[in-house]
Amino acid sequence: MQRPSILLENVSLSLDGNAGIVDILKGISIDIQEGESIGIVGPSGSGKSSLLMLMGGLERITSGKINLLGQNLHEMNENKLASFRRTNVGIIFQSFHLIPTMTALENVAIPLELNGNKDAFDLAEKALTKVGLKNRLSHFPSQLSGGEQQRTALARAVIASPKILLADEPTGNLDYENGKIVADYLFELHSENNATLVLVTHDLELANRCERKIKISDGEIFTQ
Amino acid sequence: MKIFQELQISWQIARREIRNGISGFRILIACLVLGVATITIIGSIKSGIEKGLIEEGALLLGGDAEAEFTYRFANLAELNWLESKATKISEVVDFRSMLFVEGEINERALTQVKAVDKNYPLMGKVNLYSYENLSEALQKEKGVPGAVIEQILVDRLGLKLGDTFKLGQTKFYLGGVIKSIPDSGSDGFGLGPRSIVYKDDLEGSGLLAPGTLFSTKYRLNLKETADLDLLSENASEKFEKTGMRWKDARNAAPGINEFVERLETFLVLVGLSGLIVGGVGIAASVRSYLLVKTSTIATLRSIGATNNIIFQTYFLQIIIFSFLGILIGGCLGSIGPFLLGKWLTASIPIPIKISIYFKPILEAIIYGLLTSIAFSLWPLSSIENINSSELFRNETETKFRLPRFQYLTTISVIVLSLIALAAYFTGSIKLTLWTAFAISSSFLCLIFVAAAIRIGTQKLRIKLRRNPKLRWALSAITGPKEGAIIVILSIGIGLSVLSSIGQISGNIRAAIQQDLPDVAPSYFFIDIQKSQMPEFRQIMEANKDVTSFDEAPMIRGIISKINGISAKEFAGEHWVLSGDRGITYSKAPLERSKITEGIWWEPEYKGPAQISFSDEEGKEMGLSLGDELTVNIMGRDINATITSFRDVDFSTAGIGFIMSMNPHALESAPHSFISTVYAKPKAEAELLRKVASKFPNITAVRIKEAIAQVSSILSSISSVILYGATTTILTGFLVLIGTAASTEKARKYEAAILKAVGASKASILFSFALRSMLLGGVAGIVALTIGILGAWAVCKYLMGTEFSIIWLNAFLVIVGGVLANIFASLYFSIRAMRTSTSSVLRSEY
Repeated sequence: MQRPSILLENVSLSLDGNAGIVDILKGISIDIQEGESIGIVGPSGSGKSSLLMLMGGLERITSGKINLLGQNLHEMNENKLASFRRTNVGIIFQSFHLIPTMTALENVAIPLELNGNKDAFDLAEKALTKVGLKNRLSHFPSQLSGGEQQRTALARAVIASPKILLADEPTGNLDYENGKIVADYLFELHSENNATLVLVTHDLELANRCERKIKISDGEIFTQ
Repeated sequence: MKIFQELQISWQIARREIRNGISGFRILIACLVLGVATITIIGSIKSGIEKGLIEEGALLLGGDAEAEFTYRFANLAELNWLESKATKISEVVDFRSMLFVEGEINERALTQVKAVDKNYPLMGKVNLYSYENLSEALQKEKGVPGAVIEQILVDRLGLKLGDTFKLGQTKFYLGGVIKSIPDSGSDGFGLGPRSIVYKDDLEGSGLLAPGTLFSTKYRLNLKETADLDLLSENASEKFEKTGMRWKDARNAAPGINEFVERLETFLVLVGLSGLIVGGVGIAASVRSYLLVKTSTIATLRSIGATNNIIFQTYFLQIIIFSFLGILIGGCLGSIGPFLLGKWLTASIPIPIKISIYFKPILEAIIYGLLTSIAFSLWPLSSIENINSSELFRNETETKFRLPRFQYLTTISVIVLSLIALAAYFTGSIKLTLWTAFAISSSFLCLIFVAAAIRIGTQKLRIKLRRNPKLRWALSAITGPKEGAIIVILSIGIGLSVLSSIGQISGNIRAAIQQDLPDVAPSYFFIDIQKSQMPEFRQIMEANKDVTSFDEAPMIRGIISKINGISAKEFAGEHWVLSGDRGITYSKAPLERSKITEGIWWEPEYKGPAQISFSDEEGKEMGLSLGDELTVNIMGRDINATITSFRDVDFSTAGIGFIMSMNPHALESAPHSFISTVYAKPKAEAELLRKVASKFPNITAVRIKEAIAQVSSILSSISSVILYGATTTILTGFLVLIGTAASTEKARKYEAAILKAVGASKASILFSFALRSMLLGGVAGIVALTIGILGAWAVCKYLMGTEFSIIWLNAFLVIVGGVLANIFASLYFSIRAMRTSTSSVLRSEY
């Protein structure tokens, strides 16, 4: 049997807020195989984004185990997590989160630069060309439309050929047209790289493009 | 990843961030510019004065070297030795006298007389308003010798060229008006305006009789091959016992040198406190900048940047902009003295060489860099608390956490290094440590108060349901975005400095100008010959407006040895050992003298010489009963044993002597008497006329005038210090503006919401103004308290004067705090009001 790409065993997440401790996720167990595309759906506040954060090592579990590509994330410190993400995980955010003081080309090149890759800019240019932004290389995020920004973010997420792609409402801030373009690029890159794709979305049409859907409600898995 | 590689990537990211411009770092740069420029200017002026004193030392001294005697002229052996070392010698006699102008209303005034020979001045030139050279102005006309006088005295006496007056018994005419004297800087503090005459013309004046108080200086032009160190050694070996004091051009004006050094030390420390306030601005700038960059930092972390890379990225940016600020500050500070050049040379009566001096620039750069790093590290350490998960939650505020131990350690090491370097550069460990203590205590007080304000306002606002404007103001103070701590810190430190200086100088001035005249005598009469005393006493006793008078014999001497070893070796650089001191003798202690230790001699005691020494100075010098002092009086060493200590109160400006000897030791030496006279103000002028007419040789020092002169000098000093402190205030104001700018967005949002729910513009603006007033007022009150406490400690323990609060200064400090904060935030508050509500609510602002 193939080792799962992502394995969560009885994972819980509790956060200390102003109103006291809040249980975001309760005893979640998931295994996702390499190359699978998973859509995570559920109502607002169900814990979808938090689940994604855990998978990306951006949040620490309160209890349980979380294993990505054979590595236990819960045993890593911040720097190790950052290094792990650099080469293995690409993340696409709802609000794009491009660095405003860098051009599209520089934004995309950054993960490779962090890896010490000397061809970072050449590869970044190719990645941007692939998502249809060849003429936007030297534009700053403020000079790009929403769709263009999200495509830039997409290029940045996949440039290091990560094995895991995490997308949090990638079309949430886009109109229908742009959303479709971005979604198409997302799935295209997922198949090309055979990366495991975990996609959080409210958009049922987008969720239906995934091989499997996981429904979360109130911090627990409702259906898989 | 290797360290170098990480640094490279950090630099790449930092470079891209810097392309965005300096916005976000303007306040950081401005604070460093002000702080570094101030310290550079102060250091450069001091270096200029030092260089001036060295290069023009000979001019200042009036020769390459100088031999000085008190009460006498050089004897033959001394003269022969001096002549053997010099190519030219000039003899100058310095003393005080009364200048008498006969006319419809007879006028008398105190003057400091310089009686010179034909060789004077050896160096430089006496510049007169009238004649080209001194000799023309002093030449006799119809048998009457000429004199030149300073303008201020000429104006006071209403003299014109050619008018006659008397010095002692001798008539002179006004031959010229003094514009400048080349050796005035080395003359020291004088009570009367300067006049110059030929010494030979004083024969018969009765002014240089044995026992009268004068000093004789022999200025030498030395041979080219002269070895100054060797000469100094020889002079000391041969003539220290005879009372000769030797100095050369390398240290022409030691008093000025010391004064300038102390003032510079103090000003640099004041400048440093300004830089520290700037540090608050730096910390606030970095904090605001990082808040704006939270999303970027979280994004970088999400794509794999380590803590190191992120820290280095922002640290590099801070260092680059810090260097920019330091560079600009250094340049401005270097050219500052050039711009102030004319004013400086006119105001300071000592040579100053205005130039670029690298030492003060380097010191200021080091101070600026260390301050910038120390104050940036704390907010930089918060980068670690920025979690990538904030990208999902749109949180832009991280919880407050103390920096990790390594950051705290680094910050502590840098702060301690800053203090150590300040102590090293200023040369005053004690003053530096006290300043560091004062600044850090003030910081802690202000932080504590700011935190207390936030907690207090939080509790108070709950009770203010019926007063929404006040409640809004208090709510905002409670919130972290208003920057309550930064406002109180930035304006509080500057106001504390102003408050301390204002309270201290006000109290000292009050002690001198108000308290002292009530207890001080009307006149100090000096140079009263022994034979004149009976008649002098009669004049005083016969005048019913004279409430009392004291008298004492006086002779001057120098303490050369203590217990057989050099006095300075025993007691260090104590002021009692610098120069000659007045010594008296009496059968019994003065009425108001209290013996604190030992026993006074019997009235008719004729044994070996005994001394009663001032208790306070004796303790400072490490003296005890039984110690033997060697005092050189008129070239003769007198060994005397300390047999008692007594309290001497100098604060009343009356008669007080550090040393009193038994009569048998001194009464046969040529000496004069001094007397302090207490008279009703209306009788003072007539009293002076009577004494001066009867005894033209007696000099009268009017205490009120002396007080006014000292007061004027103190005012000038405190003005200089206040100017230095102004930069602290300016920096604080800059920081306030920075804080107000950083809260502008929050105010716009708040104003939009309040307008949307129906609040009027006036009520919103009032709320903004109210919080500024509250914070500024609190900062002012705390600053005032700190200033009063500091000033009280200085007055009580350092100056030994009474302390009372100077209310005008207190009021100005509080009002200053309020107004500063209101003005700083006014512009941004008005802008917040003008922003359209809809654009804010659509997040387009």
